[in-house]
Amino acid sequence: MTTTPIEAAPPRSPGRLALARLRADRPAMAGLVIVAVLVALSALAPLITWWTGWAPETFDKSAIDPDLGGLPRGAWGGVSAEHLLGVEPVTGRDLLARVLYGGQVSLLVALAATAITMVTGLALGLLAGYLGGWVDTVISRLIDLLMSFPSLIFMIAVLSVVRDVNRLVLLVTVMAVFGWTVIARIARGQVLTLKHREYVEAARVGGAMTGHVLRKEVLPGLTAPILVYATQSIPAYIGAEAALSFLGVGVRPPTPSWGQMINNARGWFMTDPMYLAVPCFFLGLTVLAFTLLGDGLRDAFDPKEEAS
Amino acid sequence: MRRSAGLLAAALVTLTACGTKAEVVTGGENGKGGTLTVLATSDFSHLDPARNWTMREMMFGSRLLYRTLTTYKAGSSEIVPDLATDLGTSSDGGKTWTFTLKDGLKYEDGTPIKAADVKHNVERSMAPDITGGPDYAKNLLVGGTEYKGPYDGEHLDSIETPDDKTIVFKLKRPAGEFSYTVTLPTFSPVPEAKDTKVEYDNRPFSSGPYKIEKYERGKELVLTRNEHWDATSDPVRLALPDKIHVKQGQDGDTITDRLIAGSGDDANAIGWLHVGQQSLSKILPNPQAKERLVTMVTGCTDWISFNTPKKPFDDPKVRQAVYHALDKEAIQTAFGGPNMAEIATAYLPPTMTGGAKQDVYAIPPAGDVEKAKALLAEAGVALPLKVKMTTTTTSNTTETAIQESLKKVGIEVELNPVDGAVFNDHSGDLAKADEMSVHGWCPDYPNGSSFLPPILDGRNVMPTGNSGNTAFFKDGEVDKKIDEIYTIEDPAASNKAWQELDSAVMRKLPMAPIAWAKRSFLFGKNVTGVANHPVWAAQPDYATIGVKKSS
Repeated sequence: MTTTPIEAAPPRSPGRLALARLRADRPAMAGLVIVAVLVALSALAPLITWWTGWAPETFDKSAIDPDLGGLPRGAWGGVSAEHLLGVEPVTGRDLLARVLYGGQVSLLVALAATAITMVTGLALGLLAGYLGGWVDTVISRLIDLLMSFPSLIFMIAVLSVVRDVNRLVLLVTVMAVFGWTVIARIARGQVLTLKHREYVEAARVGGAMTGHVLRKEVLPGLTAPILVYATQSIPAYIGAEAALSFLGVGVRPPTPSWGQMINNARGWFMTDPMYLAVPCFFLGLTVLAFTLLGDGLRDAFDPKEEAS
Repeated sequence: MRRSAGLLAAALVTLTACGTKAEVVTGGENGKGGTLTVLATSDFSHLDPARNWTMREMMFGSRLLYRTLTTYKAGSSEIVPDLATDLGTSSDGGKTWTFTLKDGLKYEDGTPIKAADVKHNVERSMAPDITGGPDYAKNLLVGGTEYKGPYDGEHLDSIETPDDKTIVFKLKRPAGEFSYTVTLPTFSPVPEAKDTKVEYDNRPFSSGPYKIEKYERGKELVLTRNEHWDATSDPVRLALPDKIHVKQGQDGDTITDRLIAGSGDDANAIGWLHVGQQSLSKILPNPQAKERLVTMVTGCTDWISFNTPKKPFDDPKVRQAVYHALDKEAIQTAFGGPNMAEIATAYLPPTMTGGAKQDVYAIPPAGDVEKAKALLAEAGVALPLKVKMTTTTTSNTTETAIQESLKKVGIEVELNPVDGAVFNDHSGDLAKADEMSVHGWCPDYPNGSSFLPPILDGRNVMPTGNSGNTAFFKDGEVDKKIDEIYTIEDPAASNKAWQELDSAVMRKLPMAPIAWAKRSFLFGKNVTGVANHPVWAAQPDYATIGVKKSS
């Protein structure tokens, strides 16, 4: 490749600069690729299970040995041409199908929770920071209140008590209720510094409406930190969903989920390590990929941090 | 005793209903002396004989620490006199029972055991503070339900002790099975002078072959010989080891691994809990471990309780449709496979029917989908039929297998996992209960009166807290039949009548039986005389266990 002299390049916008830095960041790009593959695999789960012929809920009595307590037949937890990642002990359900459908649940919950917390957190943070006064007081105290809550215990309680609702919606709602606070705080802090910048003051003096100032002048300054934080919070939500399902209050069987699979596999880790390894690997890989991507984004938007 | 759903950890290996399987290693004099180690995960629930109502602890207490009026033979559900000279004599049509104590019976301090001490323990079992024990005495004795215990000086007039050797019980109803009832720890002696009330749980005063030397709850219990126990007066307990050391607080998987290896001191050890399903694949392919495993059916039955007052299961046809649709093979595998459970076809387990397995419907083990669909059509149910099944958040493999087999006939089961601690409250609440839930029952003694009335008697159904009749089943005919069978004095005749009632109720099918669980226990190579006991949920009988000198 012929290198274009940097000096000759036209001046680039901060966004483009960040993108260029991100492209050069190998771990971040690896994370991005893995994320893309995982998303594609989860989205194509119905197609893949149609091809393998094993739906996530279908029992396969022939794949397990009832005389040994339901241990999968064959080496590596029953890995075969029929079941590419082996089967679940006792039921003989296909692990590939379950882990892919479990990925749908994990990604869906994490992305939805992130989107909701982003929008809510950003809106409330902007209002609190820009308007100040009693609006700021109310929102800030609400943030303090929610942050001082033992959120995991509260989530477990809510999820165990509430009945007859869509579990996915409930999971997302409960996580979002506790999740928006951090974003709101970051946004509020940024707005407090931004709103006294000359260009913002100038716009206000020039007669711009509050809405316009917020959207056109303040919000762009928030993009970088919020984007970074959102990417980093996705793995946290995936972990939280897994933890809640692990504790038995997440999605309900027979809908598979990684946390639930890991919970069931605990007792088998000595005799059928594959059963534990498969969901752990996918969970670990997903969290790692999103974390790498998030770190890369942070470095790209804020190169000063690179040194630390 | 109620069998809580979801606790189907249990066991394995061959061997059917009856359980004489002690030939693996020979006991007898060879096993005399030495220290037997018992490896346990947690503390005993209760050792106080008035509070002891869990199978394992009942076995442990009444085999080692206290004697009861009658007791079971080693490894058998046949009863023999223990403290008493005979199995009791009844009069007044089975409503009055008299027992005479043997001569020369002593406690661990050498003081004589008196009839009044048995009366005292029965009385204290009814005190409000002394919780957890069997309620048979309370429900059977005249005035029992109103009585509040002996601690404020009141005594129960329906137990008479005319002299130190004689005890007379006056009952509300004829009880042909009372000789069995007095095997319960409630009917062991506790001298008033040694009664420390609630504290007694920490240090029961021994009338059996061993006494407590040290008991740190959750850590260890050390038993040493009670020198005042007289072997000639005791037809059952061999009392072979000099010392029994229960080590508590060990991890379950670690215990299994240690017992499989069986090295060092673990050669003298036995597991307190049965082997889990996951460990089977470590034990069975290993010949030297497999020969140190004993297995037996628990004598408990697990079933699906239908919410019979509520639609759609108020219609017996729909219940039968579910029963025909069940893939009991898959359910058996969920229990751990043929080594951990037999497929159940009736309420009474084979241990209570002399080994006979009653089967009214004779459905193939994997189910009869066509018949199930026909029954649903006959009942005029609109498909898909949506129902809910309560399960626990920790264990729902069985429920998942049920869900999967019902899907084939158009019944969509939604699982409703609740916390294990509230499972019974939820499923026993007439207003809140879901359409289905998995329950079970273990009899307290091998007589139908300890099995069918608690689960079928419609007069027991309460608005909340139902733990026996979890189908909320009310049927006047069945209630009438129960009262009739109570009056039969001959145990053989009454057991036959209970079996007939079992078949009659199977046709109405308030519950769908699914499994007779088995349990397996591992023991070290020096441990002798290990045989499961059919009454105490297949727990090995500690009356005959010994430790031979390592060779």
